Amino acid sequence: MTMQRWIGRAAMFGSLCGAVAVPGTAFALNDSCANAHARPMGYQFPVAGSAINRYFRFFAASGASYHVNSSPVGANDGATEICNVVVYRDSGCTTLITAGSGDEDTEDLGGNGDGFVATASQAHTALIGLGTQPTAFTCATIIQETTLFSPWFFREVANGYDGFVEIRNSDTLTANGVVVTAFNSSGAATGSTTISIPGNGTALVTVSSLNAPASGFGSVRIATPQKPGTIVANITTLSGTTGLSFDAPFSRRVSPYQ
Amino acid sequence: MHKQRWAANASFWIALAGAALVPGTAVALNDSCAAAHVRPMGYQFSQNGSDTTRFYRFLAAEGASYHVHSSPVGTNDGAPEFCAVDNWLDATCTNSPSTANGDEDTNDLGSDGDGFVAVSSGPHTTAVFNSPESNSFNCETIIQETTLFSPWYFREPANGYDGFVEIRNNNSSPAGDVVVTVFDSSGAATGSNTITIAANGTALVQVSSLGAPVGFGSVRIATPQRPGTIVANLTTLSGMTGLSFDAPFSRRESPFQ
Repeated sequence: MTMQRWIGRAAMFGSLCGAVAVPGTAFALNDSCANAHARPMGYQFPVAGSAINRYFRFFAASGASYHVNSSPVGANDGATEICNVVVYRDSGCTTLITAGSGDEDTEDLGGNGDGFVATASQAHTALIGLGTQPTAFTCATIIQETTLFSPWFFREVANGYDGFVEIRNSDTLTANGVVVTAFNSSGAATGSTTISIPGNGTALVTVSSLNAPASGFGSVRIATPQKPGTIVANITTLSGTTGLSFDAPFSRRVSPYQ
Repeated sequence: MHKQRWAANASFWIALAGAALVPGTAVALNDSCAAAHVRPMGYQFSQNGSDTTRFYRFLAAEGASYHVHSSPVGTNDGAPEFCAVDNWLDATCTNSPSTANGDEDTNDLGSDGDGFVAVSSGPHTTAVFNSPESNSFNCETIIQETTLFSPWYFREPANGYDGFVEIRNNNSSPAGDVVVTVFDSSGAATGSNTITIAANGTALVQVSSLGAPVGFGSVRIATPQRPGTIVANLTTLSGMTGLSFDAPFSRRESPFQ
C-alpha cells in the first residue's frame, strides 16, 4: 500500500468513527502540474512510491542556473530503481526544458539530473517520476542553484591589465550552454558569451572580450546547467607590463539549506 | 492532534479493520552482493543491526576517487560497537581495490573508512558490517567522491612559465596512491603520476613533468583518502617575468552533500 492510500484509508476509518483525522480540505497528492508542491532551493526531500509522478514548484531567477537531481535509495533486492526528472520553465508545465544538461559521469545508479539557465524570474516546475518496482522505494531529490560568481577583475588598458576567466569542465562529456557574463562595478552586465567545453577541457575567456570597461573593476557570473561541481573556475587578473597578477576564484551561490 | 499521535490512531483503526500497512511483497534484505540496494553518492544512510552485513551499489567514474565511511551511533552501555567497510570495483563483489586507504587519524570510534581510485566507470559495491552486540545499533554510512580539480595552469618554456601543484597530507600517517593527472585544454590527459605523501608532508609536482603542452590546461588529483585529508593548490609562475597566479583545487561534491 502506498503512503497516500494508507493515509486515505486512515482518514476513512477516522470518518467512520466520527474522529477528525485530517483537516477539512482535500488531501493534496501533487500528482498534476496544477497541484505541485513548493520546495525550497537546496532542500533535500524524498519522493516515495512505485510507478508514480509527483510535481514540485520552485522559483528561479533570470540569468542564474539550476540543476534538479533525483536518485534512488534502493529498497528492492538487486534491482536498479529509476528516478526520472523533467523540468518546465513555468508553473503551467508548458515549456519543457529539452537541453538535457546535467547527466554527468558522476550520475548515481538509476538517477537523473536536468539543468538549465533561467530566462525569466518566475516559478518553475520539476516532475519526478518513479519506475515500477515490487516494493516502494525513495527518490532522494534536490533542486540546486549552480551559478558561480567571482568578485573581482581589474582592467586598465593603458597598463596592460586584463582579467582571464579560466573554466574547467570536470566531466568526461562535453559541457554545453555555459554562459559567462561580465559586470561592471555598478552591476550592469557589459557582455556575455555562451560556450561549450570538451570533457576535461579548459576554456579561457578574457573580460575585455566581454566589453569590460577599459579602466576599472567588476565581476563575473558563470551560469552552468551542469551538476554542481562539474564546472570549476578562477579569474586571474594580470599585466605583462607591470608584472602584477592576482586571483579571484569562483564560488557557487548555495542555498541556506545546503 | 500531534502528528505522531494521529499516526498511531490511524494504525490502530487499520489494525482493527485487518488492513495491511505495507506492500504485499517480501521485505528486502540486501544481505548478499546480488541483492545489493542502490545508494546515491553523498547520501547519508543508516544501517541498523547487530552481527549484520548489508550490501550497497553505487556508480563510480574512471579516474575519479571515492571513499566509503561508516561509524557507529552507539546504543550499548560502554561498549565499543564497530562498523566495518569492504569495497569492490564491480557489481559482483569479485575485484577488491589493490590497497586500502581511508583510515585517517580523524576516524570515529569503532568506525571504518575505505577509499579507492576507480579504474573503470560502472557499478561498484560496498558491504557494511555491524559488530555483534547485545542491542542493535546504527552504522551511519556515506559514500563520497573525493576527486580534486584545479581549472588552470599555464606553461610557456620560452618565458619561464610552469605550473606547480602543491599538495598537503593533513593526516598523521602517510597518504598513498594519490594520483595527479594533467590535462591539456582540449581535455586529453598528457601524463599522470602516483605519489605517496608523508604524514603532514607536502608534495610538489610540476605540470611540465607530466607532459603539459605549451599553453594552458588543468589538473585532477584522485585521492582515496577521506575528504579533507588532501588539500592542494596550483601556482603558475615565471622566474623570468616575475608573474605568478594561483588556481586552488576544489572537491567535486555530490548534490546530496
